[in-house]
Amino acid sequence: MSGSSYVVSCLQCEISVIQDPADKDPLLKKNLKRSLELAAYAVATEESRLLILPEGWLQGFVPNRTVADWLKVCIQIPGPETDALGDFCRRHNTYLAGAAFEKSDAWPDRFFNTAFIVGPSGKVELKYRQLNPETLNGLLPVTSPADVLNEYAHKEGESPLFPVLDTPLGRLACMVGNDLNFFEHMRTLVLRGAEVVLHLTAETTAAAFPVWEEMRRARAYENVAYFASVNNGGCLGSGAPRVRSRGHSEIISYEGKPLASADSAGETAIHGSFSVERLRHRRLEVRMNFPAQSKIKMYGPTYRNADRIPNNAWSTKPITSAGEGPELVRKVIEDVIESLHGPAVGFH
Amino acid sequence: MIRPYNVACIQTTIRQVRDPATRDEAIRENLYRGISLMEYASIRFGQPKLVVLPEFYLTGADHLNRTIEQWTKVGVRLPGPETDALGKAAQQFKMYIAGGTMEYDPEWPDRWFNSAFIIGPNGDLILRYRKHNGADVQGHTTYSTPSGCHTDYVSKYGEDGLFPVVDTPIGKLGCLLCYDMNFPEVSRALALRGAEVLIYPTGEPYGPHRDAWECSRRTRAYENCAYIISVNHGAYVGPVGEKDFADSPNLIFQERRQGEISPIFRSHGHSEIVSYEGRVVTVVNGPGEGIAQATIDIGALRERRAQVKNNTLAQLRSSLYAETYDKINAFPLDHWRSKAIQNRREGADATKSVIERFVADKVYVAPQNDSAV
Repeated sequence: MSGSSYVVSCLQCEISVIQDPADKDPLLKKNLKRSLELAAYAVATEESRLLILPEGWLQGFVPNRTVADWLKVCIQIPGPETDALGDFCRRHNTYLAGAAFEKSDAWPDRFFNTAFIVGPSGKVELKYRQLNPETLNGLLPVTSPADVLNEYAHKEGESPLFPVLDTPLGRLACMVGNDLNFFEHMRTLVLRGAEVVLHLTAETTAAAFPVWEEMRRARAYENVAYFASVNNGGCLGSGAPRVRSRGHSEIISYEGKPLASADSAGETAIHGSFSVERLRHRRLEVRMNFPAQSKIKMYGPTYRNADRIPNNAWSTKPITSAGEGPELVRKVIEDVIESLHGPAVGFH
Repeated sequence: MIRPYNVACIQTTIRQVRDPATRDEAIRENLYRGISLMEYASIRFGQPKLVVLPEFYLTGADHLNRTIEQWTKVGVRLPGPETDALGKAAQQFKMYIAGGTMEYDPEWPDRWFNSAFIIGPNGDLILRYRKHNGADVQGHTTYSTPSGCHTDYVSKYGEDGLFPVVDTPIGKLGCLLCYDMNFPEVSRALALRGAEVLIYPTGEPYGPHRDAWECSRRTRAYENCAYIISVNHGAYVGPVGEKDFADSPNLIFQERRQGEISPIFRSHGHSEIVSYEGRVVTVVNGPGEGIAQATIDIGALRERRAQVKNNTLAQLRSSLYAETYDKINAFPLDHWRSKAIQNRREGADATKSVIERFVADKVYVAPQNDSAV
């Protein structure tokens, strides 16, 4: 199976935003139904085997919402929504990835931004909870597993922070939105075996985002991995502009070259072809084999001594409002970054 | 408060050094050309406070199979007479001069390094960086890297000696070289130590990876909120009075041995300055000699680094990734601790053995067919 190439599709769907938690059920149903229509379109027209939905795909984004209200719109993973995707995958022999805001009985008073992959088994075969959520930017009061790291290992057992799923389509892994800013994330995934990295994202039209396109290509290239980035096409029925997103979903080769790009925002689907067999041959070549050439052990002390965001920052008390994230960052800036103007160490 | 200042990328022609006997003459020519271009930049564009020259600016570097002994004779001491000459220029023009060179240090007698240097306006060498990633993993030449003798290197210079950053009146400066750019951890390690300007002497040939390298530069600038001063070779000209070429059987014609085997424009040029927002501020539009000059604003960078939103250096979950990196074993440290690299093939062999380990450990998956697809 992995000897041949297959089609991957990014479903850049529009999201009907659940502004009022009371509207949760009809809007979830609406978003789910439309996503499955787009998935069916991709399968019918392109025989796509791997379908990807964007971050926030079921619920959308609402600023300044409390954790209590977020919990009202969260879903469980697995749950009825992923079961519906599972039915689709079973019928069409596909994999379908997405991300949604998730609640879990094991973590009352917290919610996660969670990516998942549903397979032809009909089940959720991979679940990844975003490690670098927008919490630190003050946009959402999402908990990162790193914020409760000790307890996480205790409660979730062997459930890995960086899951990689072995499939006939190659080894798949997920990252969500802001994870892209931290190359350490994808490096870790790849050195745990990932070959195809799915980036479920929600990128607005803002000054920083043109650079994000270059970052995606750099991530693919520096890790010799296929990369697919799926943005939403728009957010309907919220206070934000309808075309809040910049679109530009993109499928990128392991050489860092775009294979397909959406030229705009708005609802669309883009398709590209991945050959995991070709990737595996490439990874046997010595030249430019960056994952194998990485001197990872050399950087350990740098990270240990960097004193930036600590693990377990919200372990004793769950985060309650989005404002707590920037407070922590402010402290790092004052304690660490501004104190960096110390003695010269340039010449030994 | 650091006022905005001019930086010049000096994309110069490099005279290749090969024969230790004609080394001094070739290096003198490289010094002369670089300093001439600095003078021109000062007259034509206004006085830069920082000028950056390419990788291997003083010595050039060919990829022929030479013995370590030959290279160590060619290597430049840091500091040494060559940096003294640049120091005089730095004093005269009142600026910082950075660049790259093949280096020999008698404290590491069996090795040569691919190094970057910064000289201050007082004429002193103020930073020396030795490249971390390159020949030792690729297999095209024989320079040593600090990781090859990691334990000894760190015990001699400390952890910060791997990633030196110097605090100056024009900001905190750090260096990386060419292939280092493919490993985002290098820029990160410098930025986490405070580097605001990443000085990047490079030697990038034409090739299929060129677009990706350009993406990488902008990505490194953005993700570390740091300026990148990227300076490529302008042109390569052959060595002077070359005689000793007996170990290059690939060269058919005796007379060609007098010249340079690589194309004159072997590098694609495109030296550029990238802002801390990841935008290209100025660029030399091709190979050949050229100067790109622009103003950089460290005060604005410091303001940006003090902001919360999308501040990747502050928002980095360093403790999390310290743990994950600790659990990963990729390219080994201390691989050349007991015996320095002798033959350029050793680097490729070392990477090959990591790839084989990766396949055995299921980090990589072996393809189903042996033949290339």
